[in-house]
Order: sequence, then C-alpha cells, then structure tokens
Amino acid sequence: MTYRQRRALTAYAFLLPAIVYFIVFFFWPIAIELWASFRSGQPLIGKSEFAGMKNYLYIFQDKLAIKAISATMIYALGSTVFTLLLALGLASILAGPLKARNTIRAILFFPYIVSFVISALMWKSILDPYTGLLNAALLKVGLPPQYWLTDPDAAIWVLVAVSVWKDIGYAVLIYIAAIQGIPSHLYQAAELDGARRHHLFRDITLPLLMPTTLFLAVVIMIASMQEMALPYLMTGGGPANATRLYSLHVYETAFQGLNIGYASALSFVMFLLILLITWVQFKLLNRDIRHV
Amino acid sequence: MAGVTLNAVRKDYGTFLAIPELDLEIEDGEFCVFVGPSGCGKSTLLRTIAGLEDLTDGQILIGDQDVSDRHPGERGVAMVFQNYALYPHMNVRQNMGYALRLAREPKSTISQKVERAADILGLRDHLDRKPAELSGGQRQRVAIGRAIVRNPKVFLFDEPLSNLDAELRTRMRLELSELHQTLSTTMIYVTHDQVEAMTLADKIVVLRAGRIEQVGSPLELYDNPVNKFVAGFLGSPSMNFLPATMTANGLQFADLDGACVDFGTEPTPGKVVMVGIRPEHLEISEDGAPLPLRSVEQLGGVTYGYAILQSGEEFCVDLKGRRDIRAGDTIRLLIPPSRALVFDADTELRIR
Repeated sequence: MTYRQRRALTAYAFLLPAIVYFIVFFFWPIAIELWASFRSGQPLIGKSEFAGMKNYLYIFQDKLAIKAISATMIYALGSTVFTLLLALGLASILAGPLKARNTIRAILFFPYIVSFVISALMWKSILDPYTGLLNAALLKVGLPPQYWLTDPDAAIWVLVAVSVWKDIGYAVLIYIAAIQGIPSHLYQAAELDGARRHHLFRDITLPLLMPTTLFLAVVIMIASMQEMALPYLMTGGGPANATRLYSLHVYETAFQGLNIGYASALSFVMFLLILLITWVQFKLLNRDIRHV
Repeated sequence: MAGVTLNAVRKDYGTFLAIPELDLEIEDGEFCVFVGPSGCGKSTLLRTIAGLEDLTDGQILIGDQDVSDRHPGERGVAMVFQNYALYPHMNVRQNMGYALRLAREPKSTISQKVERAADILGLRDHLDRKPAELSGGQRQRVAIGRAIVRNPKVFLFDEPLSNLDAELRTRMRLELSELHQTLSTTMIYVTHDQVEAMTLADKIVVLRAGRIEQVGSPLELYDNPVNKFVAGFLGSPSMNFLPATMTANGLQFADLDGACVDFGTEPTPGKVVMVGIRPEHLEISEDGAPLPLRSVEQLGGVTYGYAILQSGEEFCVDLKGRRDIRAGDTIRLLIPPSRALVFDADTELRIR
C-alpha cells in the first residue's frame, strides 16, 4: 500500500463514525420518506402500494396544507426579518463601550437556553386573556384586554414575537462577534474620508456583516419553517387554523390521521421549499468579502 | 496646500502620558518624517493630527485654521495606513471615490478624479478589482490614490511601507518621493526605518517617549546630532560608541588597547564620556590600535567587520570596498578626531 493510499485510508477511518451517523440518522430516513411519499395505504407501519404522484398532487387540493404553507411563510419571514433587524440594532449598541453590556447580553441570551416547552408554556400563561400578566398590565394602564392567542389575525404575530424573543440572544451574540471582527482602521479610514456615524453603519458595518446576515437568515429561516413546538404548545394550530404551521400539519397528518404516505410527500415538499429559499437567500445576500 | 503647526500639543491616555508637550512647525509643501523607536509616540502624534485621537491639550493648526476640535473628515488631511485600510467590499474605483461620494460630488467629477489618480499611480487596469485581488504594492497604491483624489492640504502616512517586502519597499519609497515632487503637498510620514527617514525627508523629527529629541534636515541630523540617542538612531549600520576618560592629553579609551586621542574638547580630567564614531569614518592604518574581528559581512560593494569590545559593546567598521579580511583577523584602526563626536556619559548630550 502506498503512502497516499495509507493516508486516505486513515482519513476515511476517522470519518467513518460521522459517515455512519449521517447515513443512519439522516440519509436513510430521507430515503425512506421519499419512498413512502410515493405510496398509499400504511407505508412504514402497515401495507402500502405504489401511488405514483398522487400524494404530491393532492397537496394542491388540501386547503389546510395551502393555509399551513401561507401561515408558515408569514411566521418564517416575520421571525427572520424581525430577529435580524432587532439583533443588528442591539448588537451595534452592545458591541460598543457600554457599561452594562455583559449583563444585557446575558439577559438577551437567556431565552435561547431555556427549553422551548417552558418558554411556550410561560408565554401562554402570560398571554392568557383572563389570567395573563399582559392583559392585567393593560387593564392597569386603562387599555382594553386583548385576545392574543384567540384572535386569528393576532395569533400568528404573537408566535412570531415569541420566536423573536427566543432567538434574538443567539443572533445578537453572532452579530456582536462579527462587528468586533471588523478592523477598526476601516472605520478610521472612512472617518478621514468624511463619513459620519450613519455613513459608517451604512457603508462599512452593514456590507461587512453580509456574510453573517446570510448565515443567520438561513439558520433562522430554516428553523422557523420547521417550527412545530410553539403552535403545538401555545395554540394547537388555532384559532381557525391561523397558526397551523406546516410541520404541525405534517405531524397531525402522519400521527393523528395516520396518513403516512401523504405526510411524507408533505415533508418532502417542505424540504424542497427550504432548499429553494436557502438558494434564493444565497443569491440575494452572498457577497465575496475577503479582508486584506 | 498648507503647513502644520503644533502648539503645546499634549496627549494622555488616563495616567499614561503619551505626548508630554510638543511644539512643531512643518512648512507648507515640506516632507516631514517622524522617526523613533516603537512606542515613542510618533503614530499617536500623527493620529492626533488626523483627528483619530482626541487632543488632551494644545492646538493644531493646518494652514491658519485651528482644526483641534474638527472631525477627521473636515481637517483637510488624508491618511495612508500601514495595513492599507482599503474597504474590502468595494472595488478600487469605489475605494478611491468614496470620500468624493460622501462629499456629494457629481458622478462625472468623481470618475474624472479617480481616473486621474489611477493614471498617476498606474492603477488604470485595476479599477474594477477588489482589494483582495491586488498585490501588496497595488493595494498600497490604491491607499495612496484614495488620499490623492481628495486633494488634501496635508498627506499623512503611518508606516505605509512596513508591510511590503524589501524590494517593493525600495520601489515604493522612490515612487513616494516622486509623488511628493509632483504634488508638492505637505506630507507627514511616520516610520521607524531610518533609511526611509533619511531618503524621503526634507525634515526629520526624531522622537523619544513623546518628546522631540531633534528636528532638522537628514544630513544635519546625521552629521550634527545633539545627543547620543539621535546619533545612534540615524545611520545604518549605526554609530559606534566607545567609553573613554578625559585626560590632560585627550581622551583615553578603555578599549582599543587604551589608545589616547586628542579631540580638541575642553578636558575635565577624570570625566567619563562616550565617543561616537560612524563605521565609515574609521580609518584602517598600521599606526592604529588592534581590533580582532569576530565576523565579516561581504555585501559586494561594501564590507563590514564586527568586533565585540571589552565593554561588551558591538563595534562595526566599514572596511571600504572589497577586502580579503576574514573573521578572526585583526585590523588596526585609527579614530580621526574630526569625525568623532563626544557625548556626556550621564546626560548623553553632545559635548562640543
């Protein structure tokens, strides 16, 4: 065996655990799901037969699926845009010489490390129309109580707000690291060129944060499109299916309706949709920035 | 164009006093070099003039205008940084035109000025490239071009050549010198490289611990340093220093076999002094004191011999052209009294 072959073999030996892990827990389930999506009956758990594109074509007739897609898009876009905007603003302040910055960073990061179930139940209790803290506070200042989670127009935005609250600490942390990585001499050069604070932010900070923004946008968008715990725990998909996010629809189709083949097709469509959105984000936001 | 006047300029960082109090006059169109060892305050001083550091006290005038409290962009200065500080997301054209864009100049004017600067610096073919696609020398030219397009009253250079390799550094040094002749604008240049200082400057300001040690033309400082620090800082290889004692007959060296030389200085018998002599001013003569060489550097046109004195100091001799002398050989040296400089051993000031 040559030296090159020995080296390659050693490399593969080290990679083997990761390769096995990915095959068993990622590629194999995806393959099974793809197989199941072309079958009717009870694939995976019982008898099934080949159904061709039937499951996929049915999605267009499934009003609940269409509604779930639109609710998911609102939720994912809302969560991503608001998280990024707020995180960028906060990070710009917290990256500076602020006295209490470490305390504020810790407070902001705290929701990110709290279990999703605990967060969801906590917010559900705070937002309860009759016993919740928020409405009690509104009443205290003379404002009418709101039906946060039972108003079909408001509920999805409440979920967006909780999602932003949960993720913002993570995004702020990443943004702060990126901002602190921008060389200070670039700001000084720009100041000498006549740039004021808003120019520095617009012309230096913002464009140099593009790779970070792309990373965060992709990560948050994908996580939001797969979101299930929040509507499942806070609203059960209601009111009037207004917060029936796609993953919840897939879950209920598969495990309550036991329509595994159709649920697999739904999942695969979501997979393709996420792929498409990620590609679009790369096209829109990807900038080749190499520091010299 | 304008000169620069520093009046009682002071800069501290809390308890650390970077520049105690400094006065300096730089003439209009002059090429002034701040030189000194690391931490001497030369970059701080430059950045204070640029407005990147707040002045603790004093006054900075550019032309007849007090710019002490002005925003860096309103001082009429342009700066070239050591690490270029080019905007990585902008191409060369955008980098060079950024200041003009901020000043809301018309697009056609920006384009015209950028292209003119690009022509001066030979960057015409690179205008649409990003900084990462350029070589070190090209990046430095873009940084200079960015300064040129602003048509500043004063150019500030903060060790602009120290990131370049030796060959490129020499070439860029010449280009900077030519640029100064072309533009005739006041330039202030910071370096720790005394060769750059000697070759570029009309005026050199030698700094140590935030204070000016001496100001003058390169040769004035080279020939007539006011103290041992300036004498040792300028010149390559640097000046040799020999401890000596004043006697009624002249100066008696502890090294060089106790040779005694009359330098014509007023003797204070018993006083210990340092005698400075440049390697090229030493004479090799059969009548001289013996000096065993520890190593010899053959540079082609020049040969340098090195010895370690009894005092532990390194001693360098210019052996004048090519010589068949090797490490371990002993040469005989004479110190010409007219070329040697005498410094007080305690105050390090020149004794004339």
